[in-house]
Amino acid sequence: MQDNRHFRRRLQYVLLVLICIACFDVAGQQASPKPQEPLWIDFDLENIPEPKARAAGYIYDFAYGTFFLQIREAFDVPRHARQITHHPKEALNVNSVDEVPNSSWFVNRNGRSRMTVEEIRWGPNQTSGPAPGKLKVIRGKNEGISPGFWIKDSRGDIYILKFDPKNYPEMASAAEVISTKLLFAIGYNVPQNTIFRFRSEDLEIDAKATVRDQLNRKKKMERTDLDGILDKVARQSDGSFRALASKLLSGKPKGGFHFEGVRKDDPNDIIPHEDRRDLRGLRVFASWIDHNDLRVGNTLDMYVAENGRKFLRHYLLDFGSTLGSETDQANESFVGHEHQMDLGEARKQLVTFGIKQPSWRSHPEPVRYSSIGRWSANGFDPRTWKQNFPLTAFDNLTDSDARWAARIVNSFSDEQIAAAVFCGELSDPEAAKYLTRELTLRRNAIRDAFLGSQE
Amino acid sequence: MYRIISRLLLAFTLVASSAAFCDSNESPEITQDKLPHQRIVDRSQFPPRTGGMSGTLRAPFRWLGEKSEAGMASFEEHRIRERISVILGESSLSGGGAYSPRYKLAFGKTSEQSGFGIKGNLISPSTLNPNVKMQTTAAITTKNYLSTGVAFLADPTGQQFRRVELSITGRYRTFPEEDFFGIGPFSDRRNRSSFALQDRGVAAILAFSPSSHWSAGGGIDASSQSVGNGHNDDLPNTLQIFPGTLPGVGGVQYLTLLAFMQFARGDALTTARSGALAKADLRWNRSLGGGPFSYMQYDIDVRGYIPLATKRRILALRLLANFNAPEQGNVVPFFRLAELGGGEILRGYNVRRFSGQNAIAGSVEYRWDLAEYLGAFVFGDAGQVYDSWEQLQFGNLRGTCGGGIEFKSKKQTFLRIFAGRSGEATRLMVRLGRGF
Repeated sequence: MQDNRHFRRRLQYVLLVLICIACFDVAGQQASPKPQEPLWIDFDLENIPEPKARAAGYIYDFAYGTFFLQIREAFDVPRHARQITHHPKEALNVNSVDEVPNSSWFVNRNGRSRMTVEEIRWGPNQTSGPAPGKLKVIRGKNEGISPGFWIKDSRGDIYILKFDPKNYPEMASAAEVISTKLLFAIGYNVPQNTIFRFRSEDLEIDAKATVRDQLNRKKKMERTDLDGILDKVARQSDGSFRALASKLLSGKPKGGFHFEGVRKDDPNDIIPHEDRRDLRGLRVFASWIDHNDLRVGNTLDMYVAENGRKFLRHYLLDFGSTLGSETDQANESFVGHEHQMDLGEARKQLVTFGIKQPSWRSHPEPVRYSSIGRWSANGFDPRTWKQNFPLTAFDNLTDSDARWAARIVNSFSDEQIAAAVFCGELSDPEAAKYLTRELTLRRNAIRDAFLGSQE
Repeated sequence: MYRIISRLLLAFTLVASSAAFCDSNESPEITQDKLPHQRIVDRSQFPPRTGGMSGTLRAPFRWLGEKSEAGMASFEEHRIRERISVILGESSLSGGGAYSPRYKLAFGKTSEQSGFGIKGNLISPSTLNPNVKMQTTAAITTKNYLSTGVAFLADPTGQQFRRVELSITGRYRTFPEEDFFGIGPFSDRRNRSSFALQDRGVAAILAFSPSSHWSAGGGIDASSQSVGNGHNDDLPNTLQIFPGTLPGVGGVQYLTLLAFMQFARGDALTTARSGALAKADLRWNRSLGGGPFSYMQYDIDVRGYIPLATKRRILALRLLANFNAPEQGNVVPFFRLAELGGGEILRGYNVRRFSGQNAIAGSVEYRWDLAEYLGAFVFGDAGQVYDSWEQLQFGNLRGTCGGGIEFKSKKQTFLRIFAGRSGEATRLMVRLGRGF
């Protein structure tokens, strides 16, 4: 009787194991190789009803990335199991040659066929910036931390003008334009950003222009309001102003995209964002240019009408916090090394009572050029690079995703990088040379980290 | 039962690991002659979706962000450093010129025992003169503590408050649930009781700062305080526990002349990562209305901040002394005695756990950074109250220790959560603002 019970128990275990193996096998069969022609278009441009605009804010990005995401990932058992067994979840929008097909998120550019230096310089631009002539100031700028305002040029095009901090002339505007050119050449949708110079007398205030006062109330914009903004920003030696002119995107803004899940009101959006290779691989591109401020608030979904269809196109925005710039100041020493509130690092510091300090803290990089900020390729490790807030898509980066991104980064020649830096219009040629060299070194570091001797 | 649970666990583990494998696809090397399997999503395999019908995947907290963001829209202009300070009321909503009205909204406490509340602060500069402004403040807390005030501020030197500030203020404050345990170093914690206090007064103070290190000033204050039954239903009334023995129960009126001096070096007034701070206050409290409550009051507060090789690790030291010297035949009202306990000194003891004519205390804190905006600290406090020199003995010294974490911006600490342990209890405390 006893033996019989033991036999039955063993039989149960064996059956359980067999069932698991069967599941395993079925899953394996589902993923079995099926040779197909590579797809180069992931058609997500179907007509959709107009989605609702949604807000995106710094507080949400900070709280979600810092607390909810890090804590949730710490308790994500399947994720840990995949990590331990070295079987990460691979990206979904990948074709048979391990590339990302074109979509409303990403368009293969330099990685697929090398762009000319002229194409790099133009980037996404259709024009060379605001048209000459009088500029109508149509409203104050209430978003972001850099001072600025919106203008309409003589062609009727609308731009937002953003300025450099007084202590770091050229820094934020140059970083924004250079990063725009590189991200566009990589394949992302970005606004048309240009360095633009004007004189105070070129500006006239539109009769309907508004600005927000100290109590956040909208009021009619006066000349004193405009002068107040211009007083806070760097002025050129000839009295003119240098600004970043960012052209208003076409379509209707519908808020930023998240780095996980799908957008509920976009039927085209079927691939969970954390499983999109173009968003996972963005971590590698961001590490290249130190785009540490990547978050929902610095992305934008635009509801556009093209070829008789209306759909959402997904943009990256606001590259003032790239390279050595943190928009209103030079990069702090932790940028690229830690999240703004890195709970993993905090745990280590807690148990060691802060005795062990990383070298980038004890010997921070100096600010070599005020037009660049704090930035170099020294100590750059793309594998450990971190943006300000954790993002699910970035945390899901696999070796395959990283290799894909590294191949694209590695497709940039020294001349192409120099062409992008040229667009930043840095007045100091040494600063431009330095920036080009560091970008090249960081490109090489990415190549060595993810491609090894492959390339 | 145990067997069933263990089998379920085994099954779960196996299924979880197989799921982990199922999710994954080995990423093969890419060569032209060896194409991996097709991994592109076939869009037709996904069920058709209509706007707003399908749920999101792995975004359980998105709604929270969307809702909170709507409420926070007005703070959009600033980064977290500024925003958090806006929320906590440490800075105005935006810079503004000298003529612009500014308001501050703050969450926090009005006093140690007040509970949390909200404070509004409106600063209205004169439209004619940037050296004059008016400030109105009102705060109310969850325990009905109330604090209101109106201040008229002026800079007679015409330097827009850079060096000199003359203030004339009126105030009205209520403290409905203050604790009291008795007078002297041997007060019994079982005598914990509650009283209410009202304070109203008018003050004129002239403060000047001849250099970035030094500041000094003086002024006059006319005030009236009255004591009533505590509103804390869980505690007996102080007036019942100590019937007829406490000085100042019937209320007091004072005319106070005061002088103060402060010396600060390094970051002592901002991030407190290096440097030193020394403060000394002298008050002559003259009782009005005939009560025998006149006394001199001396307060000394010395702090030092020593970086340990880096400013990310510091040792903070503090020495605090409070002496009251009643005039001949006078006494100090019980609610104006020197006190120890609470969230600042002798942490681990209740607020006002020890009250006495004099108090002396010291603190040592080791603080270190955990991340850019997060820090930790461990501390030890020691101190005692005494009414006479005979009571000042090493054996009467009370000590506490503890530790916690602090959230901070680049400029300041705005929240501390910590636990303090004493011989009587372990207390968990949440404190807005920095420590000493």
